[in-house]
Amino acid sequence: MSTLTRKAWGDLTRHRARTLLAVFTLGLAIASLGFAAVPRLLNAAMNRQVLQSHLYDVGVSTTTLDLNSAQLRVLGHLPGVAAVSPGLGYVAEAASAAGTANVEIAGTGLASAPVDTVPLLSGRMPGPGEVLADAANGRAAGYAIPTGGTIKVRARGGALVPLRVTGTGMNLAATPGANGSTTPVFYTTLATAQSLAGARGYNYLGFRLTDDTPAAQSRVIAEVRAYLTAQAGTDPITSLPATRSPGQWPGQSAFGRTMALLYVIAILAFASALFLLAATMNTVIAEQASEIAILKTLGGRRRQIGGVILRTAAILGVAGAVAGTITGVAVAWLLARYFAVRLVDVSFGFGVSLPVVVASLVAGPVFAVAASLPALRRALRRPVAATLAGAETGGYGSGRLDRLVARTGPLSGTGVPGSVRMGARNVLRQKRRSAAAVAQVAVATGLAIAFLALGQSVTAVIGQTIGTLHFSVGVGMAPGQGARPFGSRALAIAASTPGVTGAEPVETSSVQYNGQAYTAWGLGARPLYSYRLSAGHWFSPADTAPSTRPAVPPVVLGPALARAARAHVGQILTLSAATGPARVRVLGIDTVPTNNGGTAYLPLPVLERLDGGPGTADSIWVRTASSAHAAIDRVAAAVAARLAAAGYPASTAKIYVIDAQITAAEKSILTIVEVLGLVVVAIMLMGLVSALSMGVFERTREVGILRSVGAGARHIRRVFSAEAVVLAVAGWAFGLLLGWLIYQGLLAAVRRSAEISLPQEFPPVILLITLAGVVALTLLVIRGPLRRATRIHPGTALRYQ
Amino acid sequence: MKSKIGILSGWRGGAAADDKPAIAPTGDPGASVIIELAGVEKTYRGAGGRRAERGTSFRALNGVDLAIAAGEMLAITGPSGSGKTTIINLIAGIDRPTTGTVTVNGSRLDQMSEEQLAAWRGRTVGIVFQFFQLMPTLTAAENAMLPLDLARLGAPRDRQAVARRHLAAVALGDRGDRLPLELSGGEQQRVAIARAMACGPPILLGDEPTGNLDTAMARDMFRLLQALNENGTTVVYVTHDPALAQMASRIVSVRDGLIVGDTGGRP
Repeated sequence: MSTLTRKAWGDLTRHRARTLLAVFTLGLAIASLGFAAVPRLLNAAMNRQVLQSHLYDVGVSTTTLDLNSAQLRVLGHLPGVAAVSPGLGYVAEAASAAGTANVEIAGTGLASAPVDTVPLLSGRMPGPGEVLADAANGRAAGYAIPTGGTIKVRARGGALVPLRVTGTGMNLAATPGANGSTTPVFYTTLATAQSLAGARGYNYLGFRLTDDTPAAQSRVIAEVRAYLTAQAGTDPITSLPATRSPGQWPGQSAFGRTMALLYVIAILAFASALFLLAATMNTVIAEQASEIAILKTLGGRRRQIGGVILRTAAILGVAGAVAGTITGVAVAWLLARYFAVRLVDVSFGFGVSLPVVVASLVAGPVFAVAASLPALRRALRRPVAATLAGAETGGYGSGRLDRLVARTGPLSGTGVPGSVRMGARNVLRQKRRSAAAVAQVAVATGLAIAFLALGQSVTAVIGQTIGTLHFSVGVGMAPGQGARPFGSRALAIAASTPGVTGAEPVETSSVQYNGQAYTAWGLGARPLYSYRLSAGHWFSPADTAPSTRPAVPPVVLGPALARAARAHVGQILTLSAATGPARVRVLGIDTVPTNNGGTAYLPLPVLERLDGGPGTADSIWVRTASSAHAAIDRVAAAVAARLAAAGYPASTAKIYVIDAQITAAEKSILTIVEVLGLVVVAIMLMGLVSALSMGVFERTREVGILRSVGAGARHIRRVFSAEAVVLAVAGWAFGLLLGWLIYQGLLAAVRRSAEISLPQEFPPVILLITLAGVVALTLLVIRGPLRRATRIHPGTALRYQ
Repeated sequence: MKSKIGILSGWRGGAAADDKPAIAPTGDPGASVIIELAGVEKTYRGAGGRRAERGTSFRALNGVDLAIAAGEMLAITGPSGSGKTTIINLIAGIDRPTTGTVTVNGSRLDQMSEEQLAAWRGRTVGIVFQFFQLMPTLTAAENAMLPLDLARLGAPRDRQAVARRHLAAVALGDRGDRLPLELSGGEQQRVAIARAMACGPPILLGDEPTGNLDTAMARDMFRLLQALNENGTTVVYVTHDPALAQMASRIVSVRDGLIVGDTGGRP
C-alpha cells in the first residue's frame, strides 16, 4: 500500500468516533433514498395480490337474476371475456359479541371462483351455515369477530340466523377499508347467502377480460347488458358497472395521495442530510489544513494531495453507502409493510427494490466525494506559510459578525453567564456546519407545523361536511329479491315512527363523467342537506315535481366534479348513468366537499329515471327529535322494523357512527403522514446530534482548558447546551416560514390529487407547540454529546490533536 | 510595573486567602512546603496520549520526589519527553499519578474527584500554556474574568472590574474588548497571565510560557512572572531555554522521568 493510501486509511482511524459520525451522517442521506423504493415494493406486493385474487376487470351489479349454468357459460364466452364469477351480496343487520351492525354477506365461489377469488388467510373454508370474516373487518370497520365466534344475521324472513366464523379471508374487490367502505364483510358459500337473502340467483357478476383496455371494457359491458336484458326482459343492471384499469388496485388512490407527501418529505430529508454531509466533510478537511500544507512543503502536488483526501472521502462514502443502504432497505420495507397493512390489510413479505439499492450504493461514494470538493478546493488554495503559522484560536473573530456579537447585544454583557455566552457564540465558529444544523431543524419544524396545520384543516373539513347533513339516520333499501324501493307509503311509515320529526326520500347512485365515476344523489327542493352554492341556485319545486320531464334536466355539481368538468352555470354536460348517457344542464355549483366534492345532485325523479325508475328511491333520510345516541339507535331500529313489517326490508346507517368512522379514516391518513414526518424529524435531530458531537470533538482541548481554569461539569454542559438551544431556536424561526410554505403546498397537492379543497387553518398556538417541542427534543438528543463532553479528562484533552 | 503587579495580586479571594499557609520569599529557611510530590510514577497508555494498541504503554515519570517551598520560583528543564510537562500537569491536578502522592497547598490531589479538582484548580493554581489557549469566542476581558465566573467570586460587575484591573496590570487595559484573533502572540500570553491570576491563586504554573514568543516578548513575560513571584506567588515553569531557566531561583533538571539535578535541594 502506498504511503498516501496508508495516510488515507490512517486519517479515518485516527478519530474513530468522528469517522463513525461522518459515516452515520452519510448513511442518513442514503437511507432517505429508500423512500423511493416504497411505491415499487407496494405495487409489486399488490400486483401479486391482484393476481392471486383474480381481481375483476369489470364488475356488474344487477337485480337478482336466476342464471343457470348454461347462461353463465354463455356469459363466460362473450367476446372479450376470459372468465366470469357470479356472486350474491346480502346486506343485513347482524348481532354479535362485537355489537350490532349492518354487515355484507358475500356469497361467492370462495377459493374456487375464477374471478374475485377469496383466498383463505387463517382457519378453514366455511361450510353451510358458516362464514369467513374479512381480514380488514377489525381495522376498517371496527367489527372484529374472532375465529370460532358467531354472528347472528337477520335473514330476509326476519329470523336471526347464527353463522359461525371459521377463519379469515380477503377479496380485494369486497374488502372494506381499501374500497373506502366501513361495512364489515363476511364470505360464505352461495347456498348460504341465497338462504339468508331468501333468493335464488345472483346480483353480482365479476368478469376478467382478455383485453383490459377501457375500450374493451366498454364493449364487454355493452355485450353483457345486451345479453342480460335479453334474458331478463328488462335491463337488470342497477348501477354503473365497476371497471379496473390495468395495474390498478383498491386503495391505490389513497396510497398515491400519501406517496406524494412521502416524496416531498424524502426530498427534504435527503437535501438537508446532504447539506449536513457537506458541512461535516468541510470540518474533516479543514482540520487537515496544516497536514496539507506540510505535504506541499514535501513536494506533494495538488492532484496527489487531493487524491489522498478524496480517497478518504470515498472510503467514508462506501461505508456510508453500505450502512445507509441497509438502513434504507429496512426503512422502505417497514414503510411499505405499514401501508400494505394499514390501507389494504394485505400480508407483505420481505422485498427489496434492486434499482434503489444499486442507486444507493453508487450514491454514497459519489456524494461523499462531491461534498468534499468545495472544502478541498479551499484547503488546497491556502498559502502554505499562513496555514503552518495557523491560528490556535479556531478562526473566530475574523468576521464582522463575530466581532459584533462579541461586543454588542445581549451576549456582550455580564447579564449572561460566561459559559452560556461561550456556547451561544460557538454557533458562529463553524458557520457552514451551524447553517446545516439550523437548516435541518428548520425542515423538521416546517414539517411539524405543516402537518399540525393540515390536521386542523382536515378536522375542519370533516366538521363542515358532517354539519351539512341534517338527519340522524339514513335508511337504505336492502338489496335482494323482495326488496322494494321506498315509495310514498314507505315514506309515510318512516315519518310516522315515534321520535321522527322529518323524513325525505333520496336516491343514491353513481354516474360517470369523462370515464370517472362520481356519486349521484337524487334530492328534493328542500333537502335535509345544507348546500352552499358558489354559483347558480338549487332546484325549485317545479324541478323536483314527479311529473316534470325536462328534455335536459338540471344538475348541481359538487366542487370537485365542477372543477373536473370546468363547468359553469348553464353548461350542458353528458353523464353516463345506469340506463346510458344523459344530457344535463348545470344549475348550480356547490362548495361543500361531500363525497370528496365529487357529487352530482339531481332532482329525485330525474335520477330515478336515469336509474331505470320511476320509484327507485333507495334511501330515506330521517330526522330525529333527540340527538342522543341511544335515542337515535331506538328510532333507527323502530323505523327498520316498521318498514320490514310493511314489506320494505331496510338497513340503517346512523350519522353519528359515520361521523366517527370518517374521523377515524382521516386520522388514519394523518397518522401515516405523521409517522413519515416523525421519521424525517428523527433524521433532522440526528443531524443536530452530529453537528454537536463534531463540536465536542473539535473542542476537546478547549474543554481541557476550561477544566484547567476551574470549570465543573455543569459549566461544560451549559456551554454546549447553549449552543444547541441557539441552533434549535434559529432553526425553529426559519422553520416558521418553511412550515407555512409546506402547508400551502400540501393543500395544493390535496386539491390536485384528491380534488378536495381544505380550509386554511393556521392557529398561532401551533407555533408555540413546535417551539416547545424543538427545544425539548434538542435538550433530549444532546444528552449523549454532553455526557461525552463532561467525561473528557483534562490531561487527555490537553494532549488532544 | 511593580505597583501594577501590586494591584494584580491584590485580589485574593476570601476562600483562597483562608486556604493559604504563611508565605515567605524564596530562600527563607522557615518557608513551608506548598507543593510535594512523593514517589510519583506516571505511565501513559500509548505515545503522545493517543489510544494505544493493547500492551503498549509509556512511563513518563519513574519515581519523582520533589518539594517546593511557598514563594519559590522554580524552573524545570530537560529534553523533550523527559517528563517536564507531566510534572506540571500533576501539580495542576490535570493528570493523576499512577503511584505516589501529590500534595498541593495542603490538599492531596490523588484523593480528589474531577469535580473537586476543577473547583480547586480555579482558586489554587493559575496555568499559563505555551500556545496561550484562550477561549476564542471570549474577548480579552472575558477571558481574564473567566475563572472568577466559574468560581463565582464576587458580583458580576465586580468581576468585570477585577478583570480589567488585571489586564491593565499587564498593559492591556485598552484591549479588553478584543477577541484573541485580534491580538498578537505576546498580547495573548499577557491575557493568559491575567486569566491565570484572576482568582489570586498562590501558585502559578507555566508550561513553556514563552515558547511561542520572540526573545524580547519572552523577556517581558518573564519580568511579569518575576514580579508576581516577588509578591509572594509560587511560580513553577517549564522551559527549554537555559537563559530563561537561569532567571529562576532554583532549577530542577529532569531526564527519562527522573530528577537528575536540583540546584535548590529544598526540603
